[in-house]
Amino acid sequence: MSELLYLAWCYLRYHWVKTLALILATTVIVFLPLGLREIIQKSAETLQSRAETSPLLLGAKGSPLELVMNSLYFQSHVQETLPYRYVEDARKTELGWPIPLHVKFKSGAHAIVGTSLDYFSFREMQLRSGRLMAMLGECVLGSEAAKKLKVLPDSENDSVISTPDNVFDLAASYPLKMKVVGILQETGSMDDEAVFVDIKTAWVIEGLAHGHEDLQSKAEEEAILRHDGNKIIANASVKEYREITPANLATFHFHGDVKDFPMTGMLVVPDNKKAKALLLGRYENNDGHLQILEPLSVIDDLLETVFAIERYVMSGMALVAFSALCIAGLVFVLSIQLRKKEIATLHKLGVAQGKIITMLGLEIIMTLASGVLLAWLIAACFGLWGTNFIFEMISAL
Amino acid sequence: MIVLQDLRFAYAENAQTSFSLNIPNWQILPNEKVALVGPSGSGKTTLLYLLAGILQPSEGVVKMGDFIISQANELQRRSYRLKEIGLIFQEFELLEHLTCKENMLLPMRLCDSGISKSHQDRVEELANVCGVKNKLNEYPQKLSHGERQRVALCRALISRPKYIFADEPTANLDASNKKRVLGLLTDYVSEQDATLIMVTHDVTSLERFNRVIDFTDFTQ
Repeated sequence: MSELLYLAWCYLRYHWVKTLALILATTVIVFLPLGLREIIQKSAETLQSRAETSPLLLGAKGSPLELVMNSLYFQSHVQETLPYRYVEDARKTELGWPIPLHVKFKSGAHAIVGTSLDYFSFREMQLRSGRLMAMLGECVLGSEAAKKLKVLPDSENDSVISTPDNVFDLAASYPLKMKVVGILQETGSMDDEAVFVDIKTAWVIEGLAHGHEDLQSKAEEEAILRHDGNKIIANASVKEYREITPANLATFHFHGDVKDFPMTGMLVVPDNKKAKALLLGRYENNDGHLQILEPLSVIDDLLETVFAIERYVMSGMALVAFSALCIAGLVFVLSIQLRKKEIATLHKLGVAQGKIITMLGLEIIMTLASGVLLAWLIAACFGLWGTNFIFEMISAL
Repeated sequence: MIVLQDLRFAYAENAQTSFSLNIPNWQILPNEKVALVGPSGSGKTTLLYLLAGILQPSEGVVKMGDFIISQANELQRRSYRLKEIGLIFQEFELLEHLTCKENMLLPMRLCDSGISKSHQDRVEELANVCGVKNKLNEYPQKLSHGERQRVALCRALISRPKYIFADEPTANLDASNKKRVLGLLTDYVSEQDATLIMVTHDVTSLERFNRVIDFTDFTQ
């Protein structure tokens, strides 16, 4: 058998272009359903495991999927926000543990997650180096975010900059330079890709708080346009700080009532099952501006739709694969027709019919097996590295 | 010794040709070099195929030594051919996807014995004698006609066969290559006490053979 295998290999090696084309065609035929199945399975596992650990999610009325994707996976934007006072309200109920979330801005490709220190306890996240944020303008990086932003553990004075919403809008918020004070251990979740800040820092990025030069000093008098009650209206020559340092920290102030400042969502960790039921009842019977969700049920609904679509796609693919295999079969048959003379030579030399058939069969098997193996390897890699792909896909929906 | 007794062969009734071959009793001795001559379509190649067991006679007996090839089944005939008969064709019939060395080793690979060091040495030795040692790793496409026929000759001789059946092996060769191939064949027969039966149209080479058989009278 090894000799026949060698002869089959010799044929494939000599006709490498034809062999490669057949292998690649087989790879595509096999990979499409296999890769799709792999990526859906992996993504479903990732989505569900995260949703399972997030008991309740409060947000403004709108798309439940958008809210879950934003709050749990830091993807997608929520259209409506809810005021920060709901954190205090939830705390007063003594039924659970509220964690505010503000996921709107990015630093490069990494979501800036404005939250409280409770988030780290809730997710049981550990520091690999440094400390958690303690001051306005400080941030903590997820392990992958640190790698991609090239921030080394134990490196002081490293910083990341928020990406402006719109570079063409001069009135929009300016980027904020944030000092990295810690790097988190790997969790295998979307937290690894995030930049965590205190929610107040997120508000600074949004432009709800700012720090600038002291307008009371005489040197800046020329910059003052007019006084309007307690407000001072100044011109553009007043320098706004784009980095918060201990020296300028005192100049940072909020305009308006913090209780009205926005959150994109709020995680609520109920104390027990009864508290969960009470919280669900309390927020479902609101004035219609809120929604409270169990993220797992939202994800299950989503996956049900995804799996239904997958079934249709698979049926289509099965037909395409069947057609492609028929064509491949035709290629093999035609190839054997073209090799009639070679086969006749083998007959004349005295090679047994069975050996000739085995040799031709081995060529087909080796080609198909290589294609299947390659498809399986790509699908496995896709499963390992392609999880982000589904998040991006869902965000784009 | 090859023995033929009242050999008759006709292609099937539905075949395009109405050719039939009738050969009376013949004996070809070991170490004999026999040339088959005659016009095209007179049955020379058919006789070679009958001797090699590629075709089965309609009547009569073909005996190769003690082995009655005409009565053996397909598998036995193929096995015998692979081990005991060296076949050389007019069109060389080398496999294009195998290098010269792999082509030479092909009969051994397809025998149950497999490839051993002695086979590798035999390839080197034959290639050296036939002057294609430097072409062993080349594919047949890159070789001249003369070189290809010498590679085909090496393939026929690799298993040290008792019988060499050659079907116009020099038809596509120039004078010098023709001489070389014929020399190699006749030398092998002398050294190994083998039997050579060769179809040829080349009257200038007939002096090398012990016997010349004219096929004009054997067909209907």
